[in-house]
Amino acid sequence: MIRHLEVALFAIFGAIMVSLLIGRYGFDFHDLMSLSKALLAGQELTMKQHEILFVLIKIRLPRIVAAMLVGAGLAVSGGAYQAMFLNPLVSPGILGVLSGASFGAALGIVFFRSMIMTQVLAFCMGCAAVGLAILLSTLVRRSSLLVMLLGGMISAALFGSLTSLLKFLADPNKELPELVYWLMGSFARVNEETLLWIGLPIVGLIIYLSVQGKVANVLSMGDEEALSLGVAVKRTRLQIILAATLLSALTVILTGIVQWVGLVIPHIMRFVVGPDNRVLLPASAIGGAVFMLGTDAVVRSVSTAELPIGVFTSLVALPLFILSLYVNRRNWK
Amino acid sequence: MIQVSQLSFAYSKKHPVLRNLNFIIEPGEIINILGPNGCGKSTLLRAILGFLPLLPGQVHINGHDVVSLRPQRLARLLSYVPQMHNTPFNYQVLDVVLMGRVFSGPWYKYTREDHDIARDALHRVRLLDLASRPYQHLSGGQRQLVLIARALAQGADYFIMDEPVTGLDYSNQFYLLETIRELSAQGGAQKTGKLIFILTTHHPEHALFLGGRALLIQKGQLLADGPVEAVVTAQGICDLYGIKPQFLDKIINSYGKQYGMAC
Repeated sequence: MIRHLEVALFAIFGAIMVSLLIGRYGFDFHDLMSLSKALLAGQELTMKQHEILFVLIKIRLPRIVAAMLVGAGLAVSGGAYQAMFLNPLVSPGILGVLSGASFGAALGIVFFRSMIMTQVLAFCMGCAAVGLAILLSTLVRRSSLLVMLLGGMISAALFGSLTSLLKFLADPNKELPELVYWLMGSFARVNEETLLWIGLPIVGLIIYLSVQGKVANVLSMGDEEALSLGVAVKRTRLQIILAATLLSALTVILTGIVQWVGLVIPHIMRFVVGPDNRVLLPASAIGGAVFMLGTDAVVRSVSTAELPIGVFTSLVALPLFILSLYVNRRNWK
Repeated sequence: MIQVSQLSFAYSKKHPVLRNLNFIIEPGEIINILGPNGCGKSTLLRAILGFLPLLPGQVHINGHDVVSLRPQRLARLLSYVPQMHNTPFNYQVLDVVLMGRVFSGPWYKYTREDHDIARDALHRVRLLDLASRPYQHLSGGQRQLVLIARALAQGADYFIMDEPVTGLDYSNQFYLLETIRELSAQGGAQKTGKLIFILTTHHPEHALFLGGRALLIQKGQLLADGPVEAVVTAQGICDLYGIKPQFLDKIINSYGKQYGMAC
């Protein structure tokens, strides 16, 4: 456990350092060290150092924080979802949150043409889609988790087709490209204000989900067993599902739709630290943060143009996933 | 004491599963519940465990109504050893046993005391050596013992087991029954009171092996209730399962008459 923590902190620190140094404005580790020396000693900064400081604080730091929050948020909510639905193949999108958010964003872009409305609608529609899924599952008396998953599929399909409809209606010169770009996910829109008012709830939810391992383990044994072990099953399960949903909806506000992280990172971390959610959930949060920083570093160094992060998450995640499957092939006999 | 009074239950209105059951379970007993498939054995266990939407007043445990009892309190009185279950996550054996302590201590972690209790429970079913092995890599019999250890760690007096020997090989079946008999004689982990096992079985000879009391259930009603030797007789078995005495004779003869039953 201690060893895990050290590895995790080292990984995070390393990823942050690398991310700080990568980008179009060039400076190296040496510059960074002399800058921090100058700052600590209270010396007058040179012109170059002022520029570096500006790039670090105004451009790279918000982006790094956003990447970590989104990666950690999606991964930990994916891990929580997998435990709640007793199914390692479930991802945060399973109850329709991402489809709903896409539809909300499409509404915002096509009808309101405003950034704020796009973000607010994405968040609201994401939550509404999950609400619809849960509502559908209550149609069946004493329904099982499977019915909730079915509800999620229905809800996701509904909002998916509504989004397609809006794509069809959108002005192909202006709105459509913006919408398509938004749906691919990007850190380009991250700014300090959004980060400030959205960052805190995200951090709060990440921490909340990370410490649910004890009860998540029990809930992953199924309703009746968990009930007989003394957990108020319905309430607790719904609480965790709602927290995970809210968390993924909030990440959508920051970056748009980012696929795969929520499914693959908990999976990979399960190979590394084992299935015990007390370790797995915090490990997924850390793994997600490091993964997202790494992917963003790749994106920023590949091209000077702003490439959509959502495209690269799967391109980076899949080889990692295949590698972890290969390394653990004995467990899959 | 578990008091079942006028317990009736139906999943759908037309087909009642349990009809007006009345009985009392006293401390220190082993209760064997026998009956044909679909007679309501499992439903009865689920009713006692508080899984079913019952009317208030039908099942009391130590004077508390199971319907109104919070899960946390109920878990301290009753523990449940399920039949084979299928979680896709391959937890370590010790982590599975620790789940029996989920209601105690702080909500985010297990205390040192919880760990001690879990290890002690594993020790009592002689599986402490396997504490750090993945649960799903164990054999069926060992898994059942791990679930019993988890129930022991829970610290409740009443153990409810749904067909505990299902899927176990011949020797493991009797090893498990022997463990139940031992634990029942030893008493609870923390309390001085004796453990009470309430289990369903399809094997009359297992009931005879365990001893204690037997409830024979047919079509949701109590057919017979009493000491195993008095109830699980050739006549009782023939009545319960609706088989002809000649047929039972044939079965028993093929077993070499070692169960001492003859029509």
